[in-house]
Amino acid sequence: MRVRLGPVLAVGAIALLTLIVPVLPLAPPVTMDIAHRMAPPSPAHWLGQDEYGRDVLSRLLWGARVSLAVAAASASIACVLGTALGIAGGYLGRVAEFFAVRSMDVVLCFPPLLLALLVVTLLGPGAATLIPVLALVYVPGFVRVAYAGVLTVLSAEYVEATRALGAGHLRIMLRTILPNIGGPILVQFSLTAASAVVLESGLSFLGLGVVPPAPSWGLMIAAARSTMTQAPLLLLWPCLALSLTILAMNALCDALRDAADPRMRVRRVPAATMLGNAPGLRPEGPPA
Amino acid sequence: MPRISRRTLLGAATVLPFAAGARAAWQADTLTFGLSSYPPNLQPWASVGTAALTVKACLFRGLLSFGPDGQVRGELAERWERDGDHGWVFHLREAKFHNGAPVTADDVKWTFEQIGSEKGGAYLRGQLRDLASVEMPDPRTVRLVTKTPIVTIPLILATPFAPIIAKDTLAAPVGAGPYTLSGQERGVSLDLEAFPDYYRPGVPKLKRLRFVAYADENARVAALQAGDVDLIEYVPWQSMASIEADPKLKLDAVDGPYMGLAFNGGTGPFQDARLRQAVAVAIRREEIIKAAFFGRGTSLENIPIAKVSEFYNEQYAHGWKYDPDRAKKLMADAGVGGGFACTLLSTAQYGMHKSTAEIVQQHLGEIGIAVTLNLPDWPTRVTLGNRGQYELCVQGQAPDNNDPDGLSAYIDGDLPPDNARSAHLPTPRIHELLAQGRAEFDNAKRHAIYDELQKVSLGVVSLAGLCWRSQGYAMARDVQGFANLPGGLNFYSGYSLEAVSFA
Amino acid sequence: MRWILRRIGVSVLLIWVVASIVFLAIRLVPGDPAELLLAQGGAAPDPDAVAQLHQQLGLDEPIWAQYLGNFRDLLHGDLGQSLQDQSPVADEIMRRLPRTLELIGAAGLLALLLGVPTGMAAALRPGRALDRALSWLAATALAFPVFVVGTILVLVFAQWLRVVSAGGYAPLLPNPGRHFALLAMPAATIALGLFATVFRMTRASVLDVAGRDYVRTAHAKGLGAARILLRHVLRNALMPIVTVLALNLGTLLGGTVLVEYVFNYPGLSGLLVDAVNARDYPEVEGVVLVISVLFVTLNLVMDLIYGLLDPRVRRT
Repeated sequence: MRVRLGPVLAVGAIALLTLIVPVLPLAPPVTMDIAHRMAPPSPAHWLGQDEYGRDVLSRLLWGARVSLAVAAASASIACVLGTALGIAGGYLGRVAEFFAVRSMDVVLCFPPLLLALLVVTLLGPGAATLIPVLALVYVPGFVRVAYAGVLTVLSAEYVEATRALGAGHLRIMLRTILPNIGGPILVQFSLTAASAVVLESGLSFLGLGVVPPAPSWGLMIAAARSTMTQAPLLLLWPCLALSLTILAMNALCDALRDAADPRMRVRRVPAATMLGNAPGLRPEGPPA
Repeated sequence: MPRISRRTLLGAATVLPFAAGARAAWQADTLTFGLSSYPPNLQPWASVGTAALTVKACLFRGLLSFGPDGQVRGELAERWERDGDHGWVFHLREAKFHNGAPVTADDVKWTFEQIGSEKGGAYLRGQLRDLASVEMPDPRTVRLVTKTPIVTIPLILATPFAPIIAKDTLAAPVGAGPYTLSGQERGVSLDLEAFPDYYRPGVPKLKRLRFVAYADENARVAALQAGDVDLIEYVPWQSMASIEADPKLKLDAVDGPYMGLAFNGGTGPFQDARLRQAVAVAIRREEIIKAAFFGRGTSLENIPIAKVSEFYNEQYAHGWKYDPDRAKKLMADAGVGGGFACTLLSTAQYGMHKSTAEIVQQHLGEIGIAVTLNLPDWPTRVTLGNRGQYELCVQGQAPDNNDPDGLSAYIDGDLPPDNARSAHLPTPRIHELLAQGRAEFDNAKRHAIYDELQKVSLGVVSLAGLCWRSQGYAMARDVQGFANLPGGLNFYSGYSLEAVSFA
Repeated sequence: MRWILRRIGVSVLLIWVVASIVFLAIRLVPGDPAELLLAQGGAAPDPDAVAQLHQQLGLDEPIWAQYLGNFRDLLHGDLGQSLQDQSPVADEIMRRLPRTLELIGAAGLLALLLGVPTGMAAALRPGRALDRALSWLAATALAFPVFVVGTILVLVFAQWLRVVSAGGYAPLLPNPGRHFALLAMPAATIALGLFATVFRMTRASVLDVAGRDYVRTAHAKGLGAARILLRHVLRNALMPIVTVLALNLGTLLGGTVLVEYVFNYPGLSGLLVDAVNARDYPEVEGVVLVISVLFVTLNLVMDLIYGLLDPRVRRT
């Protein structure tokens, strides 16, 4: 599977940056300096100081760790659970299928915010509660992708062949089906992670997210919103960080999707020559 | 990008003239008020939040109220006087209820019976538990007889928690206030119309009041700036400067409620009064005011007795001044010189509570107290507070009135458990002093009592005062007659809506 | 035919499960509605008063009795009364629901009107400058949280430019201008995110269809590009676009909380949050029930249509 290099590098760079934050020479993210609150960028504080005088750059980077960790963890859990459920449902059929699809419908009936509200109110706010909540919200997405993928794969003959050869169910599910739906699952994962970052900021906005003084992009945006007219930069930095990260993740997601889609590869040569120079109808392949 | 259709432009055209400042004729008799929340209900004697108080102050009136100068003035009672140590006599004026019936002593007696009833859930039930009986010498006179002398009866009855309601109209309470409820949309708005037979001449000045709820503070300010509303309450502190700078608006801000810390005196580290003192002197209050309230507030270094009050005592007013060394010494004396851990209960739902908690956490960390924040949503916070399930908790309250007795509910630990005060923290001396002050008619003696109270509070620390916060109302420049009452009376400012008009 | 009945049966079961879960969940959460009602002023209420109110509100009955009582009322179409002021829950929902539906509908329409033409334009020359610019725009649109976009719109259009009102709601009559003016910004805020989805879906769908044989045939027959585009490509590409959009809108039913908050738009989501905050059990249950019924019905209709068109789908 050939994937475009750009997005991979971008996302990789962001992930790497997040990992090395503890060893970077940053100002402590929770130390307040109220005398200099909302100070503009200065040599000591490259991106300025927030409403409590804390260093914005430091909070941005440490917040990245929290926001991305929550997003990655919840996306991963959702991925594992959802894929397992979807494969089991699609492959085993009958009761398993019914249970898998319908239980996801139950989850989908709940507005995500209500779900978050209930769970957080029950278990108390914090990252430890956020991760299961977000995971629950995103499991149906994975189930659907896995389920649809399984249905497509099942109709292929090599599955019949494998079964004829006497392979057990589990082996078939793991060895034959899983690799073939890997593409769409991967795409769904990157979509989910991006969406989780945005949802986390929404939950933090309502006070249901990460507990202060721990920084998170969501918290930073929520706080900066109330001082938008006095210190617009405070809103700009986390929004910029958020959108750049999501852009990178979406680009990666697109690249993965393009690489995984067999039709893209096929269409490249024939359609162009077939349609010739008809104005406006030249579906060329993706940019090289 | 929003598509600007012809209809949108038409709609915008109806808004623009108001943005420009001119007030159309049909608008000049309606004031639109931006509330910070929607009143859950309009039960006359219950306490269901400040938005409800503002609306109820327009619909219902009691024997007394607070005038624009913060002094008690007569409402349904035109005169009142003391009758010995155990009696208060009120002379009712000629007034009508909204249903046309005259206000009589019968209705007053019935009202007090409802307030005192066990199932009513009336806010003043506790404060009026020493009301022995209500006598009716004649249809326009009422005498309240109390078991113990209660100096503060007028102050208690002047709050909007004791409106006189027409007898037997409990299911649909009929009041005697300047406005009647002409329509409401639950969760969104309430429409009030002037009551033509209101007893005070010349008021209400405006024919209609419209209350619209804006839960989001930014939306509330935006509505004022866009001209959708004429007057808003709970002006967010970060917006106060821009409103002052706006030539079309004006800000009326006054120190009203306070922020403080309550303790659990039954379990946990704060059973020891020394540690409570340590917390009280370890906070740099200026930073809370700066960060949480954008500089709009005043430090509070004892229990909340306002500087303008006659009972304010400079000698004791700064007993909890910032002194980290003293804090550390207190901790050493209590045997925890190396520091300890505790949890701080606040809420994520209200910015001021959250900010205060974060700063307190930071400051206590500096003297070795490791604080973990517990920031649930407001209902959970209330529940935990009512049950005393916390070690330290942030309080944002207003005293019941500006007399030191108005602090009773917040500093007296001998009262039953309550969300508004410290839990499991008996304060026998404070309780005793408050009871004395409440029953003492001699002003000089009251001064002595309350001086003693302030001195004792410094040691007991049943409430660690942090700061007064400025409570702001913002309005269009041509709105006049509104009075933002100071201190504990702040939430009763709705009384002056009857006198509001446009210049 | 049996399959249709099965699907309907499953949907009803689904709704029952959701309603039961909400019934339990809202009671597990800390916070007692009677206590909260009486504690509004910051004062802990009298335990007697609380017990009184419990009895009045029917909260003192055992859980299973409350559950059965709810169920019985439901069969009569009665959604109960709000614990806060005893007003019928159904009335309140019926007042708010059309507004949220209108908001979602307007957002969907805007997203469609914006997303389809741009998606097509991008698909016609994939990989070129226009495609890349539009794709980038769509990606950016997804990257900003809805409450940030909303706040900025209010700042720019209501406070700085004074073109529209800051927020709130006005009924259609007597002032339709104001009604639509107040609908425009919240709808636009939601439409921004939807636009990205519609754009991508259109682009992918058009690319997919444009490569199909019948399009090549049409071109080979000598039909003009515009005609091919509109009659063949768009018509076939539209189905998945509308499906995805409809499903997205379905999930928005309870998801407009942040937009309604920022624009003070009195819709269903706001009602739900207020109800949860007040632990108003009947109201929470009522709103979630209505939302899930709508959502399940929408899915059911989609499934039925697809099932009728494509028998392979009828597995469950």
